[in-house]
Amino acid sequence: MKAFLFVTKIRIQSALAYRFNVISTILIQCLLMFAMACFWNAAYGGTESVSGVREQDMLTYTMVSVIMGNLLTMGVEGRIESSVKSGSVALDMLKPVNIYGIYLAEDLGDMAVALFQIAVPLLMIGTAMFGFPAPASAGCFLFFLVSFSIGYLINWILAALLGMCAFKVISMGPVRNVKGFIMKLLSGSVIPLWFFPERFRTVLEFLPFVNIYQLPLGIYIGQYTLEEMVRRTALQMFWCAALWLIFQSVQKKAAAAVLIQGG
Amino acid sequence: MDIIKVSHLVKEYKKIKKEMGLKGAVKNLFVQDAEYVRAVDDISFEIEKGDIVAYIGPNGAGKSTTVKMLSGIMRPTSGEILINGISPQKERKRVVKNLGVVFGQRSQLNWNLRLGETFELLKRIYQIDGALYEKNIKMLDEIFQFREFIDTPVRQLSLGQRMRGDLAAAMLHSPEILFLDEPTIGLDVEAKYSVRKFIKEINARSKTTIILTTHDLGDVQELCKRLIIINDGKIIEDGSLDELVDRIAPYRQLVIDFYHPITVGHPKAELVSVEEARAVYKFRKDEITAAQLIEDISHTAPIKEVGLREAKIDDIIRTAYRGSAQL
Amino acid sequence: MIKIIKYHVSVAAALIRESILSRMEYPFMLIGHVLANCIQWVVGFATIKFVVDSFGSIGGWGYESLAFLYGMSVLSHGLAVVLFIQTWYMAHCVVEGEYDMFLLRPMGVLFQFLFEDFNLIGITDMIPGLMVFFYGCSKVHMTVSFTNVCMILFTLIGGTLIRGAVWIFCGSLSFWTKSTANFTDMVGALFERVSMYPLTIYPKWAQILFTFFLPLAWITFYPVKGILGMEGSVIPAPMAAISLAVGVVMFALSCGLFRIGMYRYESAGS
Repeated sequence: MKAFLFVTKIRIQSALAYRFNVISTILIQCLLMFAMACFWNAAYGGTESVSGVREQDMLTYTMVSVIMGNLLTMGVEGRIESSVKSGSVALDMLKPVNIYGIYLAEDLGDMAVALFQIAVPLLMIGTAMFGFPAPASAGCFLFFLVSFSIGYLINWILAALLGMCAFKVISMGPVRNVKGFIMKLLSGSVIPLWFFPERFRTVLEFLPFVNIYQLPLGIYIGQYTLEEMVRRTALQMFWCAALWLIFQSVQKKAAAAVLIQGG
Repeated sequence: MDIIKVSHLVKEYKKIKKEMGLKGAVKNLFVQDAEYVRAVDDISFEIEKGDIVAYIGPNGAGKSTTVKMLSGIMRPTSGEILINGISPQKERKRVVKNLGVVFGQRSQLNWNLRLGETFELLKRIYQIDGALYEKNIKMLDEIFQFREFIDTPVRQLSLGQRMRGDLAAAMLHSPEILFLDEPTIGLDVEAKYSVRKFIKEINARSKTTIILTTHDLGDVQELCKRLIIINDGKIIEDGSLDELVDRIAPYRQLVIDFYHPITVGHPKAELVSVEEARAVYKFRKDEITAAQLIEDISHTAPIKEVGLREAKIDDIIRTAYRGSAQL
Repeated sequence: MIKIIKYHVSVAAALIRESILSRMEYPFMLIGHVLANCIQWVVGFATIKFVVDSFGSIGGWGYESLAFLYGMSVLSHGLAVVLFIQTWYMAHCVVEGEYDMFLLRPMGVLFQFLFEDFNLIGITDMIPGLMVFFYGCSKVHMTVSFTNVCMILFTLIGGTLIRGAVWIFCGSLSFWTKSTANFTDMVGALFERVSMYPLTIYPKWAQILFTFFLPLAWITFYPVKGILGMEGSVIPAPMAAISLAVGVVMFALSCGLFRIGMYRYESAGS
């Protein structure tokens, strides 16, 4: 555990060195947040509520979604790909710690940095522009935290799984893009699923992606009843566990493949 | 005529001091201290057309920085460079037209494609006309023998083949000057040998002026008449290898095996040791030649076997590096 | 003059040939990109459709005009990706010293750099682009006339140049920052917000910002407005022509910034 904490600490230190990146990220993220807010404002055009969602709720949804987007950045796909490309993967596997644990620790370190460097400033600027994005209730907020954490894990495992495609194809530029686009639409990070046609929505709610953005955000703005929250979070946990099992088996196969080929 | 003229060349870098630790990282967000480092410190030299000059020095001495400035990639802080009378900083395009540059650690060949594609591109960039291009390819192939792998993607070439390809690519537009930055780095003994042979041949055939930086003193011994040693950004030696050896290690040792144990002295040589029938003499090259010494001694006692020991070039260069550090 | 142009065309042709051949070495990437791009834009378009279905219109624009706007935007994005994709890696080139090779050749650095990686795969962006574009054309009952074709071409060229200019601008910043920060994703998101949705959704000050100071509204919004004959023009001239002019000016400015940056690169070294 100590090794993982150390990795996280190193990661925080090196991220702090990039002052320029931080400032520009905050600026552009603010712009995006603003653009989305304007979009919803124009779409609502004075209407009180559409599909049972009020404009104020949509603003909150958007702000929290943008902030979440900055916390859910995953380095693991790139890390796996580059270690396969450079051939250092065999060395990594020889290290006496679980390499995926290291990757997760690094990503958590990045998230910790993003929380203070980007999320907090964004929240402050967002509050100044559109008012504080308050959760529907304290209970909702607690549920949101739980749901967000599970969502983080789901997102991480999906990224790691994708990263492991690198063992097969070595270079996977477009695959990552595809994942990005699909995630963007299917997770409800930009446009929540309740604006989608009925049939689409039913299908999407059975996929793991909604559990990353849509579910925590829906809970945050109080879109679900308590019973629904519990049911959906349970489903989310199921997804997390299922993906974890898949990840474990794929990881073992990949490790075996590396040992046979020798990297 | 001096084809390259460098006067009072200086290059300063700004180096940002980073503070250590988490606290330092936070502090660096707000304040950064800068300090200036002189990588090249007031260097002057001239190089004559047709020479092969080795430019050597320990890591971080300023070799690559100098080569980069000479080839127009980098601007000096002060001082002047004239190549064929033109400054590469003022008229980059005109100067590089007459320049071939090879970096041992970095290739200009297109990784994914066959060697021929890069040649075709260079033909157009340097506007080499068809007949001359054919002639050059033919001549370069005689030297480098790249026909055997010209249709293989560069990524599949061995390091030695790649270096041959890179050298040929740099020579395609028949430049008068060639800069080679560590051309034998990472090569095996055989490949090293052939690259040295190629460099000699290029120099002999087209009177190409060659400057090479290297850590391999074998390169220097084999190729270069002149040697410039740089350390801490300053030139500490400039001259022929022989001169340097004479000055830093003027002594040689002569080992003589007689038929019987015997002690023979000589006024111009110091008898270092006598072991049974073997005697070791130390003498200065400028005072007496080895032949003379052998002759003199053979008058006194018959000689069975002789051997001459010279200081190792590595040791000499190391002494030169260290000598400057002590100053 | 003609000689210079001929020289540059011949080098560009060789560079383009090389980059196409290079990319052909990895056929998997090609297929992957076709899929990725089709999914991306179809998905993007679907979102707009869903929102319009729920809300009726956005910023006073109906579904038909939005479809046309979207199609134009994807097309110029595709062109920009074909021509300028290497600008996404400018920061990397600065930090790794990759401009050294170009400096060693007797030719303009930016020219070599821009043509060094002609992105054939970017054409795959054009497939969904054309699909949505023709769909949009049919929705707005676009007629094939000389004026319309000219206007659409102007818009595409202008939009492509503006996008390329912004990328070069962002990439050139790394000459100063020395960081590998990559703004591609963020700039892409910004382009999307401003060129795929009508500018009218933004407050007045933002409209002014995107019209004059960060003229992204000229990528699609104004010229499309002109082509569709919507009222409320800011300047009395064919919008598409202004768009082209804005593109040319911005591109020239970004090249200027690159040159200044290059001077710094030569001074700093790595």
